[in-house]
Amino acid sequence: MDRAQRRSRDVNATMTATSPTAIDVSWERFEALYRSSRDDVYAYVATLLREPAAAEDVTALAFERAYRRRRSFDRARGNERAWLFGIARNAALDELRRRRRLARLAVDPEDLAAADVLASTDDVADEALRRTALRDALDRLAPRERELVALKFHAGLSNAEIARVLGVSESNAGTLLHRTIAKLRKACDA
Amino acid sequence: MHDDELSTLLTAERPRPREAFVAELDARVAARFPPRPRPARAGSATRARGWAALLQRPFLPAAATVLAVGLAAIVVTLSAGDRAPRVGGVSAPSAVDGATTGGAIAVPERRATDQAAPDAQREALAPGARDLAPAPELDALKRSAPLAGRFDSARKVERSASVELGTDPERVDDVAQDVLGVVARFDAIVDQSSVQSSTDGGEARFELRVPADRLQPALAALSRLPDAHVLSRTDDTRDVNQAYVSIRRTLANARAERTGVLRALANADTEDETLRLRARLDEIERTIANAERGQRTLDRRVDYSRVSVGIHGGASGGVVPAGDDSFGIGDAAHDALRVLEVAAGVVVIVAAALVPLALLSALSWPLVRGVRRRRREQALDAV
Repeated sequence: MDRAQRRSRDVNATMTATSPTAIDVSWERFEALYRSSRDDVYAYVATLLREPAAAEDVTALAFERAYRRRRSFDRARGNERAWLFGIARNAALDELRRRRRLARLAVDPEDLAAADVLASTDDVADEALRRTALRDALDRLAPRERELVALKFHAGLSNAEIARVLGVSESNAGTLLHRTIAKLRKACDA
Repeated sequence: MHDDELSTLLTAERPRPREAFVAELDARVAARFPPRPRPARAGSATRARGWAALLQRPFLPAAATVLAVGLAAIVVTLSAGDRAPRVGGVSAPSAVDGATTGGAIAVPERRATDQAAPDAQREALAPGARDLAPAPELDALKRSAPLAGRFDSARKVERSASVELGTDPERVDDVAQDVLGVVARFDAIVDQSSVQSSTDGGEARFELRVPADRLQPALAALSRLPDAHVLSRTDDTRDVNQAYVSIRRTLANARAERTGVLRALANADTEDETLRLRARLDEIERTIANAERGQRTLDRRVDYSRVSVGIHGGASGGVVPAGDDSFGIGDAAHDALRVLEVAAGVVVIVAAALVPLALLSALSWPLVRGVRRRRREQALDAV
């Protein structure tokens, strides 16, 4: 939560710092949006697609589309992060539609290496077990629930932004998120 | 597991991009996404990007296709609509085979057509057709095979025309002399003439016979007499081919029968038979004479066109304004107005075609977006 709020504040600060008399205000806005959202968009798309290579392609495509359409962004229809994640979501769903298959979640070799090292102590072993349980629980979630988790914890969006991306009301987004977290916790504790 | 702990674990599970990818993307962003050759690995999202742009908007090519087809249909319809009355006015059976063609024609249009130089092909056409349609269009009609037969010069066509001229009262005699000059120039014949002139007005009338192949130049000359202006002009065309064929057939039959009767007469044995055959022979001779007379009359009507010329002086004839033949500001304004009218008509027609298409596009666009969105959501459900 803190992370998301911190990022949002940074974005606003960058936006307000942009001079309206700049030669290409829309480019500066986009660049700031890119700097603040690059890793978040990748994390969200990677969780949705579960294939790093495809996630990289879709992330690049999403930013390119956002760049091409940056002048058409309507601030009255939501903030820029929600707009960007909407583009990323469409690109990812188009990719899913095209592939029609689920790639297994690729395991980061660095994580494995880190787990091997950390498994040498009992505390770290417990942590590794909890992470494994969490991954299993994530795998058992429905794709829409997993998307909610990705938007909230991997991309760091607020409930309002999630609602905007998914096209639902903010209260509905909060309810869905609450149910998903409860389901995830129950699966982890089981 | 507590919420904070779960949140921490979930955040820790956040996928992180490769540094190489981040560096590459940073470079592309810094360069503002320059076009790049698509790497083989990027096939999933970038290989079909060009086609995806179209496939994600299937409505655009569909709308473009509908628009193109609609415009083509409109063009074809308008072209057919433009041709239909022109063909009918020139060569439809009711015009050629029927009683008359033509009618009173506005003076400016008449002047324009008269000034056009006749050529060999146009001379072969019916006079009414030549006068009612501009030369290029008639040329196009001549090239049309089914229509060409209708303009076959071998058909017997009787033509007549009427020209009413207006002039100043004191110039009726001069104009009458000019008419006679035209008659002499085109080897025409004056069937009947009458000239009445007075100080407060006058009138003259000529019934002429003009060689059919010189009718149009003669009419053009009559329309351009220096001291007169055309009040009205009428061209009539009557197809007499059927009557001509009928007379020829009657003549041939009668001559054949005459040959047979003469042969029978030579072989006649009795006086009664001889008398009967002679009576029949006289009857056939009268039939042949009548038919030949009818054919000659018809030939005269075909070879010489009747032209009625009226000259009206005074109030009824009006005064020819000086320089009437010249192209002035008024004519230019009139032509410009006409061009604007045609342009406005074209705009209205195009709008009539495009507005429904635009409405259809506007109405169906939300539907298309909804379908596309649903398909995307289905892709997520299918994971």
